[in-house]
This record gives sequence, C-alpha cells and structure tokens, in this order.
Amino acid sequence: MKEKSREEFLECIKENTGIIHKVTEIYADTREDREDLYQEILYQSWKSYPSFRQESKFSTWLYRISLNTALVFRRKDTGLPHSQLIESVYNHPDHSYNYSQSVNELITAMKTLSKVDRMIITLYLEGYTYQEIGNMAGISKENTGVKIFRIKNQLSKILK
Amino acid sequence: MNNIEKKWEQVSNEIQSNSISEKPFSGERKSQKLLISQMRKKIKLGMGWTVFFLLLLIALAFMHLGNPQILLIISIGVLLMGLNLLVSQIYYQKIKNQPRVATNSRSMLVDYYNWVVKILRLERIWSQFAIPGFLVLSLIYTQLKTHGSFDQFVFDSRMIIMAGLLMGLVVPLVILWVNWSQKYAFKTDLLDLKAAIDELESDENSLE
Repeated sequence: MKEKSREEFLECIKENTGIIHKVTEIYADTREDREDLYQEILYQSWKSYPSFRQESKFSTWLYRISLNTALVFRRKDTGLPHSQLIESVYNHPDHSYNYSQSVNELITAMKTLSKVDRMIITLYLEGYTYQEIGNMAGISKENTGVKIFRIKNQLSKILK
Repeated sequence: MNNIEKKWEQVSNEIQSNSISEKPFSGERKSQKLLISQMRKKIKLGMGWTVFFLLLLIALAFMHLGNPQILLIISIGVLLMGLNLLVSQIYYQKIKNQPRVATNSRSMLVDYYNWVVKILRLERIWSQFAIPGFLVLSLIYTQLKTHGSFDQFVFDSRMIIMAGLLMGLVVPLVILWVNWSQKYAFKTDLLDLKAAIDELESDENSLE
C-alpha cells in the first residue's frame, strides 16, 4: 500500500517537477543550495502527502508546500551579502545554466525581492487569482492585490 | 500581456531543460537547512544542558545515600530540574520535525514564532525562580555537609552576608546570562521569522 502511494506520489511529482525547479531557482542562489532545497521540498511534500485530499489540484498543493519550505529555508552562509552573492553566481564563468538573457534578468530581479514578495509574485505569474494567492499566503484578497501592484512596479523598475 | 509575464513564460520553458540533476528520492531526509530545524536543534541543546545538570544532581545524590536530609535537599533540586525538562519537552514536541508546510504561510510562520517564543519565555521565567531557589538549596546543602543535620544549623552573620551577596550579585548575573544566551542563539532566527510575518501583515491592518 505504501509502495503504491509512493509510486503515485512520484508520478505526480514527475508531472509537476517544473514547479519545484522554478521555486528552487527563485529562492536558492548557489547550485548546492538549489539541490538541497529541491530535496527538502521533495521530502516535505512526501511527508505531507497523506494529508493531500484532492480538494485542490496537485500543482496548487505542491506550490503551497514548495513555497512554504522555501520561506523557511536558510541558504548556506557564504559570508557574502545576498545582492553580491546573486551577482557573483550569475557572472561566474562556471555558471552551468544556459538561460537566455531575458530569463536571467527576470530571475535576478526576482531574487532582489523579499522571500514573501517572491512567493506572491510567483503565484501571480503562474496565473493564480488574488483570492487563491491570499489563501495560500494567509492574507486578504485586497492585501494581495496591493502587494502585487507594488511588486510589479518594483520589478518593472529593475527590468527597465 | 506585459513584459514581466512574457519573461515568466520564457522562464517556464527554459527552466525545465536547465534544471538541476535529480537525485533518487529515498523518502528519508534529515532537514538541516530549514530555519525551524535549526531552531529546534538549539532548543534541544538547551534541554541537553538541563539533562546534564539533572544527572550531576543525581550523581551527587548517590554520594549521599546515607544522609536522608541531604537527599531531601537534592531531591528538591532534581524535582525543579525535572519539572523544567518536562514542560520544555511538552512545548518542544509541539514543534514538529518539519514545518507545517501544508497550511497557509502566515499561520505556519506565526505558529513557529509563537512556539519558540513560548519555550524561551518559559526558560526565562523558570530561571528567575529556580536560580535563587538553587542558591538557597546550595546554602542548606553546605550547612548540612558541615554540620550533619538541620538541628545543628548555624545562621551566623557571615552566612547571612554571604547569602545576601550571592542573591544580590550572582543571581542577577546568571539571569542576565540566560537572557543573553537566548538572544545570542535565537535573535537572528526570530527576527527573520518576525520580519516575514510583519511583511505579510503589514498592509492587512490598514485595509481593515
């Protein structure tokens, strides 16, 4: 029974693995942290899987778990301030990711936001409604709207 | 569709093909990089010190098995330590091994913040009562060791001055040390949690 549930779980994860990759990319700065966060999200999802009641889509549930885990994830202390760390990672010749410039720009811009703002804008960009985002974050629909407006302005300024 | 949304579509397309290598999933993992796991570890370390002092008291009791009066004093100390350990353990158990990630973010952060703050407050209150208590117990223990029984206690002025000095100087210093060590160990973590909670709540009040 447990094996069946595990297979089911891994199948669902496989279909939605992009969610975890996006969250790790936005929240972790180094490859090591990304891998750790990925494994952490997988583990937390597996631990919470018995409480998944199919009331919501698996992808919505996985977003909730991934973002909450990322919120309380501590990056490895490199001694560098966050802003310098982002710069050093993206400008490093060994940077193994082959993103286009425009994707790099957006990810770097999102990394300058606070953890909470990153969560809200990620959900917004994924097409969740203000009500759904508010439910996941634990804030009102109105507050979500205000925050999204501010975050979008902030991002637009950076991306100009 | 504006610029940010267009770029995000690209992120979704490109992230799959550039993703990190996926290690096989074993279903087991010791969370080490989660804020709450780290705080939990520190709380456990603090409880470890209580266990250490408890064991010291028990060892001391074994050295005085023949003296029921000394044993009584040590038992009171063991009881105080044990009580602290028991209550800390109850709160500690409330902090689950992993975050309650399936709930909404604000509830998760607030719960963790409150649980940790409660344990720390409990430790501070306990130290304010227990440290003077232990001082009194130590003085009685010293008297019993010197004179053998309660009947032969000598409350001379030297002892009263000594007790007063210890109460006035050592006790506040130890209590300050407890507060300082809590701040040293938990300040950054608690500030991180509080900042995230405040951020979520910031506009909420003005909208009500």
